Amino acid sequence: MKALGILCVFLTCAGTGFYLAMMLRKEVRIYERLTAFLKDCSVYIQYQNLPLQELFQILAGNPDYAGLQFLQNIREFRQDFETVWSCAVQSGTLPEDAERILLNLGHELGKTDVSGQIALLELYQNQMTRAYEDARTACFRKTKLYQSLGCLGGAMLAILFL
Amino acid sequence: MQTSENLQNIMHYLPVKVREALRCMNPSQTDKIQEIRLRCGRPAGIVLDGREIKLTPECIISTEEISRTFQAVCSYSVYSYEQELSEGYITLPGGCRVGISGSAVRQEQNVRTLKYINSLNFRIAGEFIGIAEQIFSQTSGSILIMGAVGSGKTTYLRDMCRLTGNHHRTALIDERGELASVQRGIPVHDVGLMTDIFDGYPRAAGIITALRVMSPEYIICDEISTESDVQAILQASGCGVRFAASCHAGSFAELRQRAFLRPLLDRNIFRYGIFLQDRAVKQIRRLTES
Repeated sequence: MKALGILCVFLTCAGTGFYLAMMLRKEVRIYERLTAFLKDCSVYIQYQNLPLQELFQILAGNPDYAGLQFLQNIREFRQDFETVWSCAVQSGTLPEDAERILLNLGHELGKTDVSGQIALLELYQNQMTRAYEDARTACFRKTKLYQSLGCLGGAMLAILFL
Repeated sequence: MQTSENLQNIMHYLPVKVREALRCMNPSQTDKIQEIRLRCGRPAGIVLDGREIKLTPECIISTEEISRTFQAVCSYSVYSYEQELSEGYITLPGGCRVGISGSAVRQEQNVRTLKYINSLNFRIAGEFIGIAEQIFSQTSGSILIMGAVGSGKTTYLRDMCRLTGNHHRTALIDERGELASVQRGIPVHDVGLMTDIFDGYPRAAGIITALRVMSPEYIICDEISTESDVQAILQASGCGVRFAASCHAGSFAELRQRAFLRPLLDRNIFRYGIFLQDRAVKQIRRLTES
């Protein structure tokens, strides 16, 4: 019974470490998708001149962006776009930096001509790329740390309980 | 689709207080609304039977409300309506046209876009199926529909298009998207079973393209207003195509005074002229000798 308990303690600690590492990797993937999403928005606006609603309907249906939950919340909007965008972005599924960048973008999206929108999206794409690089560096540095700490912490507790 | 249905379709674009004031109105009155006018710092107005009245004296429209309504009309995508903005109007789904006035941003001699929007005019489209049936059955050949602003030319032409499109191969040149109100390729209004729609084409280019690619028996186009339109009609008429077109003119005498239309009248392109007033046919006249 005692051995089983100790095993559970070890597995919980190691699992926490692996879970945190997985969250870091997930964050990197979200940034990756958001950068691609902004690039796609720019292309659709430049070459197809699609209004935001049609644009988001197309992108929300794209399997590459299936992980971006906020996109599903804005695919149909009939009221004020800025409000809908803010609510969708702040739904808690995005990393903090990505949320801040997208919130700022929402204040300006759709309000200027095509060249203005392209320049705007490029600006926010650059910001998103920087945030992606930071997340990737953090992921690279911390993934092994979290996994090792989890395993070692679990092992230490197991030894203490023995 | 009746006027009231179109009014419901545009309700969500309007500021809340305008919506509430409209909902408080008698339904028999709302059915007659032709236009809703929003102006910065002034009361909202409605046009009933050609006359503008205040919606309510306390319904003053703020700059913020104009701006929000403008964004909504542009589907929150101003970039997608650059061409329309430079021409001062946007056509909404359902065919209602929103006229926009503001400060022009110019590029050389042309208006590139608008800033500081100060007025919006929602013109409520009406689809009155059957209003052109009598004329359609009594006349053959090309017809020219004329009338003053708001006389119902577009509504009449739409029904004419439905009738010709159900009997003949018809090409509809819908430059401003008001006649068919195409939404992703599907016309919202009934424009006939055999009608090919050239949506958003400049009128003259649309006529020539339709002639080349669709071999129509009839071409329908709204508000001929330039010499290039006239030249395109002359060219297509020479190929045996019949026309149903509209133009601005307060009377038959005024029609004859419009210099750019003279080649069409001199060459007997239109067999009948139909003069509309207050959304009804006031006069039909044969324009050709034989």
